[in-house]
Amino acid sequence: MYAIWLSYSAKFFILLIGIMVIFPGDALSQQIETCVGCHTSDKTLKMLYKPVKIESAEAEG
Amino acid sequence: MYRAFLVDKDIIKKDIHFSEGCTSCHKGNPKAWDRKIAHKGLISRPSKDLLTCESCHGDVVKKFRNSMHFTTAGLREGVKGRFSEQELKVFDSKVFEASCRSCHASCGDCHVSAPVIGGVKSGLIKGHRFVKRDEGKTCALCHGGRVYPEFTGEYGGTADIHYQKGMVCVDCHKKGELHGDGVAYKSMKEIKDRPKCINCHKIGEKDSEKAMEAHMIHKDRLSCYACHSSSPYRNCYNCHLGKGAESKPNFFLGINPRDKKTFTTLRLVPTVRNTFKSAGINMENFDKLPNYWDTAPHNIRKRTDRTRSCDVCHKERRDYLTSDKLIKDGSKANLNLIIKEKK
Repeated sequence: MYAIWLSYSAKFFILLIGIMVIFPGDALSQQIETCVGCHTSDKTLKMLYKPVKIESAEAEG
Repeated sequence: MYRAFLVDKDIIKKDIHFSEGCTSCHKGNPKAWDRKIAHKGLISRPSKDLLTCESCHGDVVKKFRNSMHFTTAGLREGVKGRFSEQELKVFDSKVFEASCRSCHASCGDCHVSAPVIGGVKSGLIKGHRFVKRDEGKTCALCHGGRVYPEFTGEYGGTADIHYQKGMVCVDCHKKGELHGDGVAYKSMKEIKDRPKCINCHKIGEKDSEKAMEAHMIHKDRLSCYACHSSSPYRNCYNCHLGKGAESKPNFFLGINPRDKKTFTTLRLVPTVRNTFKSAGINMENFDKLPNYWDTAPHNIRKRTDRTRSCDVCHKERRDYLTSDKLIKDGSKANLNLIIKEKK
């Protein structure tokens, strides 16, 4: 019984380590906002960005 | 450009503005990973509603609410004299809010993100830092049509000596002027504490004998710009609602339409007889106001053609506004601005 419990504990511990590697501690310690995830990533924004269409009626300021 | 929306990760933990998360100002859905869902209900310019900033920066915002940067009252004041009473009502309901007022500045337009100009959004000033001042963007994006390129010499003339000496806009235009003093002025000419050349340059203080003589003779008859504006500045022609205006460099010396006596540099404003025709406004009183107005070109030099030789004005009458230079079908009031030749 104790061995089974130990096996589950070990698996849980490995899983926990895995989560901490994927999601760094500081990210978990605060409310995760997806806004920050995308808007601080140069690579993500570059991928998502679509140039705006400029209307010909737009005049100089 | 995507970098317009890129936030500097390092400032998020350091700056108190981020302590309540992005959505406290921008709304949207902070848990969604899908772009459309995440941006649903997004407020891209939170400071458009001044209450967003007022809760912490109450003193400044209360004043700013009445400032001309926010009210754009100067645009209305400049043109309203051309309208009948009925036309002014149409202008206020159809044009002012939709067109002129859309150009007003909110807190974020100067301190966080540059506004959209001519359809182009250059975006966050410094990765969403709340900047106190950033010359290249804060002032130049809105005032980049006339003042700023004249100041830096990018418009093709001579750069302003103040710029070349390292001065920036806020060295003369102080915070109090930009944020307002709480009074709802109708025109920037009403503001008493606007920068004046004589605040720094006292007549006679560092003048040579020749300069002293010139200043004493001309001091109540000419504006400083009349002699010290160094080169042609941008004049705007032919503006039509929704279509914009054309511009070209020119230099006009004439009678100041406000005091009707001093000689100064005049700039052509783009309102023409049918500017507001598409809104059903014919400008019944169009001829009451001129098309040329006194202006302060930001291309100041100590020595210009006019300071070097008396003949440039007194014999050649160079750059004087004359009837053949006036725009076609312009206001009849333009004729009052022509400096008559002494016989």
